[in-house]
Amino acid sequence: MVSSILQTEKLCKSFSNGGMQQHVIKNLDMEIRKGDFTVIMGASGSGKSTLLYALSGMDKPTMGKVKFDGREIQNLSNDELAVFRRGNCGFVFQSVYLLENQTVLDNVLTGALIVQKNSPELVSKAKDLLRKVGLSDEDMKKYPNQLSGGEAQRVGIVRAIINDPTILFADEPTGQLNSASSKDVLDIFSDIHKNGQSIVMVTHDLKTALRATRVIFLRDGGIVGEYEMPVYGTDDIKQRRSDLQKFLDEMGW
Amino acid sequence: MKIFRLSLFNIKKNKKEVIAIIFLTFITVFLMGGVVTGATKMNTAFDESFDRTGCVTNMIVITREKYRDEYLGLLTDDPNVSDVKKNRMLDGMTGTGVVRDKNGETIAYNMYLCTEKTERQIEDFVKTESMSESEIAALKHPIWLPTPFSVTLKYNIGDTFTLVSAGRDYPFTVAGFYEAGLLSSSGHGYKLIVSDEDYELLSYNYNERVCLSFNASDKWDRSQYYEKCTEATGENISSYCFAYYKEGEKLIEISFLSIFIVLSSFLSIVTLVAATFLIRRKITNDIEDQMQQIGVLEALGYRSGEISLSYLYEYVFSGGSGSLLGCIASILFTPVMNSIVGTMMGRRYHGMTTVFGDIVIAIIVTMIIMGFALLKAGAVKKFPPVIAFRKGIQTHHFGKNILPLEKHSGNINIKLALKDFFINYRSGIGTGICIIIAGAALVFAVQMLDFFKTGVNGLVSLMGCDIVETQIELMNGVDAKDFADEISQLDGVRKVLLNYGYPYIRVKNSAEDGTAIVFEDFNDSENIFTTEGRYPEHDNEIMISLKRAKLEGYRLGDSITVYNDSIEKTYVICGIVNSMMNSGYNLYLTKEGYLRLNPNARPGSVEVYLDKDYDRKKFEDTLGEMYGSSARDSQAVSESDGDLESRIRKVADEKMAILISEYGVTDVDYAIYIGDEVITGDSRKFVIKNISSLQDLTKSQMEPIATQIKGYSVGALIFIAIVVGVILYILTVSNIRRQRQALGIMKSMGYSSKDLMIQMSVKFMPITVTAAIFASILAIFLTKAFWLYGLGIDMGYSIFLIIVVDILLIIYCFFITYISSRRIKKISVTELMTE
Repeated sequence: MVSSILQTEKLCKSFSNGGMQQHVIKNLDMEIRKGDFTVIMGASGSGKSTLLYALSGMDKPTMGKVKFDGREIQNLSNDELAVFRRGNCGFVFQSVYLLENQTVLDNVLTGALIVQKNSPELVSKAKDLLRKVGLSDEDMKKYPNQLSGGEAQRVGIVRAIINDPTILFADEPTGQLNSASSKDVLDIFSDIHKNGQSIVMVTHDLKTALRATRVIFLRDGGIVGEYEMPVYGTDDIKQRRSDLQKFLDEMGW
Repeated sequence: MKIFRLSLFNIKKNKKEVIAIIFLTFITVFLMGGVVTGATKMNTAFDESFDRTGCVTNMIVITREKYRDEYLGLLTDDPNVSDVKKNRMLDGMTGTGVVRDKNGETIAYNMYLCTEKTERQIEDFVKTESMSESEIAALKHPIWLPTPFSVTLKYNIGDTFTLVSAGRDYPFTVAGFYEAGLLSSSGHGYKLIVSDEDYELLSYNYNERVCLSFNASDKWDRSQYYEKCTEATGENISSYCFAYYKEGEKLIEISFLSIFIVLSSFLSIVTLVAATFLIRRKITNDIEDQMQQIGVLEALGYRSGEISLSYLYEYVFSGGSGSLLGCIASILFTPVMNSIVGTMMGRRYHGMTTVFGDIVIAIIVTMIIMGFALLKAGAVKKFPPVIAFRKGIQTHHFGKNILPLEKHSGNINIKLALKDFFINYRSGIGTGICIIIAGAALVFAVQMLDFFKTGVNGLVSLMGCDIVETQIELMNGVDAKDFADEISQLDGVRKVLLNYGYPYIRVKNSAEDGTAIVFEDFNDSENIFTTEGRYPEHDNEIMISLKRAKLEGYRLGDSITVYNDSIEKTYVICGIVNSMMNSGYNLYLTKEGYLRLNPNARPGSVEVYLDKDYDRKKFEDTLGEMYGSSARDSQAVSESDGDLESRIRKVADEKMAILISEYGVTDVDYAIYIGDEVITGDSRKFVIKNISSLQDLTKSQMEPIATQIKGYSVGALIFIAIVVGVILYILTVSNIRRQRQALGIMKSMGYSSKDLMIQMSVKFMPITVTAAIFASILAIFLTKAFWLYGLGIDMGYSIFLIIVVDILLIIYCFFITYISSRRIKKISVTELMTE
């Protein structure tokens, strides 16, 4: 039986909007299983990103519980959450958000050195990972603005996994990429997943969702449907696409 | 219109920075107004006050027995001199003018006592406060005090003013205050006016002097007059006279006020630099923030010059508002400024508001800020639309990777902070300049504070002569050496040195006479410090003051010729000495050296150095027990108790004392017949002529000044701390705003707010440390220049103190940036991702 690494209980998240309370997540119960590639989908405003931040300890829920490996994190202070994230979470953003004044390698090491002490092994690991995602040694010396969107996102992924996080969170990582770059990036995610990395990703893109083993569909702050698939690449891709499309159609996507 | 809206948008968006610029501009104009008006008023306050008094421009006060009618005649015959009058005054100078203060403690002032008639010969007796005629008529012992006693020393009409002389208190009632032209400062002394009856009474207690008062044109030369006097009488008048003149009085009254002006100048420069730096920083930030908007405006056809104008409008508002407020405040502050100037000078001053000056300063400061803004806003030209749309590709860093993390060791927060600093070092230059100037002002103020922390002790150390606890003037004929040997055995006496009475000697080709400081061995002195060279050891060696060396161009090894009466001798300058005493023109000779100039000189007094904390009163009581009353104390024995013989002896003593101390009589014998009985006596019983304390006198002169400077230095320290705090706060907040995204990314990676706050603070450290070092060097030069050119002394500095100040400055900067970075806590990663 696959163990659960992340659970929510009666999770709520509200925002105040001009004096009005807007309830984005409503009494949501869910769990993320170890080794799963979970994709959260839904229409705009359905609460996908809000849920992702609440799950990852980037934001605190208004009510309810978030248990990460059995530890409740909803009551941690901001600094405690930061320390929690260091060891447990990796993040890949839609806009990449690399540090512009640092080289590719330094961007990766900045994420690593807050968790680990510097060592030749760490530097080698960072370089190996960068090479694996297709960046050359020359690219490692470049600054973010000298990279293409796809290259930058690959750096973002390496930065997110350098500390071997328990879960890798990704918020529409291909949202700003062209199709060729998107495919490259998604291939990287698939490879990482195959190596045992748990991934939680928010997307509204079918091609991205196809990489998942589990798709959760949100509507009005609650889960309205779930769909599970085998690991990407182990089944017929056309059938996979068709089945997922059918699920999404049922969800009104 | 669109351009104007952009300005309004910028103002609304960055309210705190705009407020900071308004604040700094306000302070700049306010302080500059203060500096300029203070400097102006410093001159006009004295001139106006002096002119009001109708005072003569010159006074020469001569020891009575040394006065010769030729002195008066030479003045009367001189076409450059007018209104010559001869009067009498009582001398309460050099420690003899003792007053009992409101706490019952005695304090010494330099003072002269004269009658109203004499006062009206010298000046118009302009009363500033007065009792009514009937009230004055009812007073037994009225006294009129010059305005410093009201303005600075806080005496009021009706107060009791007690002179202490000959061991007795002479209480007077303050009938009023009057404005004095000359003799209105603690340095030169005060002129106190008493009734004719009291003058006669006090004439038994104080030596009488002859005062020649007159007006002299610019062509009149004092040293030439002295030479003529010497030619006419064969005596050196300058050895036994004091000269008081308008420019000298002015100089002494404004010398310490200049410290305030210098400090205020410093502060105004700090704020002006800070304001222009903040503007530079703010415009750079605004242009970066609004790059795309600039691109849109340019695409719509706006010229870069027009867009630059939007920033100019902003600073017309912020700089203009600050300047306007500063100008108004400066004008409103005029009465306070008048009061400060008046208090420092001891004069009542009601100068006009310098509206024109304040407006000119406000306009100049606004123009500087606008010019600076326009210059910096010109950077818009660098961003044509395409580049602007790309958010200014030039702003990205493509240079060498400084401090690569690959080679990192130690704390990652410090490494990242230093890395960021080196990448953006240019933006630190402005911060550095601000901290250098603020730091220099800070170190300067701390040095002042340190110097004056023990009241007058700092100033005393620069006097250039030993300020001893007790000086004992001996009767003629008393062997000073024997006396010194005797009292050196007394309890509490650490050392006794012979004194030649600080004679004045003239210097060839110099308008400035000097006081001769004579020691058998200068190694015995405790408060004479050479800045160059060494103490005189031979009879042909002399030390001169640093002020004389600088102003008259003397160097070590040069020869200097001095006169005493008709004797002229040349000495080799072997040392230069810090000296503020007697306007800083002292001359230092060995005993043998002085005897070359004055072969008949004999030590007439001794200087007694007491053990630390030893009670001086106790010592003086012991002296009384050993040697009886001093001649001065014996002058004023009024009512005696006892039988007829003892009463007669006391009266005889009194008369002898007057003859000895007033008329230079050396020996008196008397025989009085009462019926068949003869009462005899002689003056050999008198040993001590007078006891005084130069230390008390110095304290009374310098204490108020020291207190005021200390207070102002504390104020300056607080002010600079606030300004530095404001600058760093604004810079930190600005940095956080600029790096908000990067900080959010770091947070998402697991960097806590505390980590990021440390990084933010450490980023300032390299520039703070560097700037603190430069600030210290600058402060050392400025302080030395200030003391040298302001007061003619070479002021040392404590490296230890400067290092401590630097460390405190660095810690303070770290603390401020750390506290200011608390905003980082508010940065939410989720906000960034949803942008």
